[in-house]
Amino acid sequence: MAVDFYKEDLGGGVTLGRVTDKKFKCCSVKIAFITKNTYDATAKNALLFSVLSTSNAKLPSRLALAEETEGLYGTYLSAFSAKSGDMICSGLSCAFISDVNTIGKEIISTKAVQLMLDCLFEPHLEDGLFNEEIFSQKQKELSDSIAASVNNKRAYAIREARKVIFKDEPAMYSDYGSPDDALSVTRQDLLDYYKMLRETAAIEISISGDGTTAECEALIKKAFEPFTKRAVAPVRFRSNSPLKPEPVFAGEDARINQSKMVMAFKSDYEDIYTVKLFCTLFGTAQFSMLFENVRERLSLCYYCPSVYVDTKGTMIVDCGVETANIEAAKDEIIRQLSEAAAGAFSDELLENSKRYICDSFKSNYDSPFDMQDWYIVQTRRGTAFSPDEICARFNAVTRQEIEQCAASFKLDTVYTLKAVSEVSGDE
Amino acid sequence: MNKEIIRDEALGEQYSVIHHSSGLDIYIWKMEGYQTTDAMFVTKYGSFNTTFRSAGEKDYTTVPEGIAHFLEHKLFENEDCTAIALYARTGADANAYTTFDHTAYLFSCSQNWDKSLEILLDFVQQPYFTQESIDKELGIIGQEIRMCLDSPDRMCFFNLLKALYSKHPIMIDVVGTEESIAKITPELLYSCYDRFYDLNNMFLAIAGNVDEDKVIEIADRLLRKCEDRKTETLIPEEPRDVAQKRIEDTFPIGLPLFSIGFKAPPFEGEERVKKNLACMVAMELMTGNLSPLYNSLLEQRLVNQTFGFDVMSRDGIFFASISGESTEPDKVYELCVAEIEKAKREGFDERHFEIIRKALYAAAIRELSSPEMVCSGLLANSAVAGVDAFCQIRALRDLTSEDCRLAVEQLLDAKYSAISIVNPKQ
Repeated sequence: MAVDFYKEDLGGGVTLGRVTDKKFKCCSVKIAFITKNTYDATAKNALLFSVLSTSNAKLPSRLALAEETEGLYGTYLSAFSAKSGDMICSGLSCAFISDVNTIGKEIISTKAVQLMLDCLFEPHLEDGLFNEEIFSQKQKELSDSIAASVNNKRAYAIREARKVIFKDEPAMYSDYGSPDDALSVTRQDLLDYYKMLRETAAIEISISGDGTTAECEALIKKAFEPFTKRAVAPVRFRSNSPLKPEPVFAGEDARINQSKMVMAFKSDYEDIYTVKLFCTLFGTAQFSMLFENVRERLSLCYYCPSVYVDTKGTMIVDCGVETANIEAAKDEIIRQLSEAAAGAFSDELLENSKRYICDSFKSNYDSPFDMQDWYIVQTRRGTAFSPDEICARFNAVTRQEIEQCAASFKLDTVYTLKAVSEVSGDE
Repeated sequence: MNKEIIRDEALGEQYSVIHHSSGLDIYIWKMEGYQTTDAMFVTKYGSFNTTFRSAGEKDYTTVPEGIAHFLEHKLFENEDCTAIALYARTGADANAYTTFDHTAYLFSCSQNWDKSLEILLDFVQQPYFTQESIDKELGIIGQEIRMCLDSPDRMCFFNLLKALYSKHPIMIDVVGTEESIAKITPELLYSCYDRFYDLNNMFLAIAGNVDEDKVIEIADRLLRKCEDRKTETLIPEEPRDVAQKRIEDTFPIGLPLFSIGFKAPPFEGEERVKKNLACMVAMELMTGNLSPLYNSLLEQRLVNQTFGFDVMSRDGIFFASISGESTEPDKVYELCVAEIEKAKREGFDERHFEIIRKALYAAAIRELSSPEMVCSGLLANSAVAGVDAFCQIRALRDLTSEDCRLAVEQLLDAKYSAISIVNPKQ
């Protein structure tokens, strides 16, 4: 493959990864601050980077910064905040077309990266606090956004289920907290949190592009030089969730048309790539056991894919299901897991699953953003495998390993968002 | 069979168009250095093609709403197995979807693209419909319909269509209703298939890691020559006036949703692309990230980051919409109308116009980096609008801020506007 990956430990808990492929027409830079997830941190994380991405000391309004980024060929500067196991990774990302692809071969890459660094390290402060106007605007936006997240019932069900699945673990907290959490943060709280992150968070820098970003890299390294002397403990992303002594059944009623059911199965199986292959065979692929049996053969669910959360050793199956079919769908999903453990799947299904997952992994090679995310995940696992190397591992997995892997998963949680009839006369 | 090469010198990009003897137009865009291949086999048949007639027929036939989408589901299985089972042997990620005016069957893969292409061309040309398989599908699509009913955004959008249009079948939901799909029979499916899955009404786009000679060899082997049925869809003449100025509904949501639409006369071909682009840029200038209006709405806490716009143009359809979440949607509507009137009077700031133009140019470059986006671009331009894939970027080079002001004057009129609001259900 033409993709090249380089990783460097800059010291002080700061790492830098660089992905290069000459065919890429755009570049992407991501800077993440990584800390343990806590209930208190979720809203602050989301709010902090939202505020930082809106203005800086040199461009002290949303409009001024937007004019600058849009003027750099629509450079996309944005905030992100997402969980990875028990950790929360928040920061800024910046995507722009390569200099060579601008109309007049203009140099926009270093300008875009400098803007991003200015946002991170030269925030727009007033009297030592974040600008009140921008702070309150972003606080309201975050609160609205959290309130509106209930609109997507599938995502809502998964979010509520995770509170039960990962009860008393950092992973139970949502990415953003509640509307009230967002509204209760003060400017002083946020500034204190910002300082704390700068002092204690692990920092993950990633650059992906066509290989013409050496000057950008130099700018970033210079900006982070003061951070390299910090004493920051290494971050562990993988922390398997303990299996509950008995499966927990939870849920709520909702005035919706289609019920949602989320099931969690947990395992301590060590090799995550065997689990990923098993999960593909079991419920991820379009020809998987769950799709073929639960949806197609028995018509019990409209959708029922499985997803493996490798950092928590947990496989989640989420379903769109008629209320009358909830029990039957749940029983059939559990039965299919037993079937997999007993080896009741064809060799053809196993080979097709290997082909499917390899095809999917190799398709990452064509996107600077996908390859960037690929190596961010690899770095978090302490590895640097390419998609081709992982595919070689998939192809070596045996039927017996898949059976053992399936047998290792135990039911932990069943959460249902049950559709109930409209209450007459309420309108 | 004959071949054209469509090239844009400034971008240094090109693709081939093969007018195949079967009647199918094949678009091939080889992207050097790419591992992925994306392909789309498309028929210009969607949810609004419900009343139609073919060459030699005097009367129009009307079929149940949602039948194009139903057909898409059923075509994914033949007598022996499903298309998914066939793709499982190649590793490709395959899917299909139905929109208002087309149905697409697609795959994306990073290996065995030629075998996946064979599967795609083969199963789409082999319909197999029985009452038994229709009955089974009714359950699955019934669940899909109920899932769609749980989307407040979808409710808000379709209510806007109902407010804007009184005759055009665009207001028909793509999935139909449980009542309408219950009327579907094997005969109706075959009738629709024969008329619209005529290769003269279809289109194949393939981009990324692909070999042109191999594509032609597969096409020669698998495509069956079709008689051109010349099927035409009855699109009733639509007045410019909106059907209703306002529709309100309720749903269990956190914040009210709104969608404001401005109905305009429809356009065809290159004119459609130019008007669409001018309207898009004008909307960006009036309501986008850099606009004083957006800034003011944010400062007044009247909207949040969900605020956005869209321009939709199809056969017989052209409208611009502004959507988002707001506790005061009527106030947002008033301010948007005021901004539109201001743009008509004063035009646009040249510097902002140039910034937006550069940003759109960069977006076009980004699309050229993805086989999937290249395929979608071929579909949107060549199949739907009937122009070449570089038409939009050419139009962008020639666009002036005055073109955008004129687009506002011609296309955005409060008299022909409507608002759809979905309020939280307590």
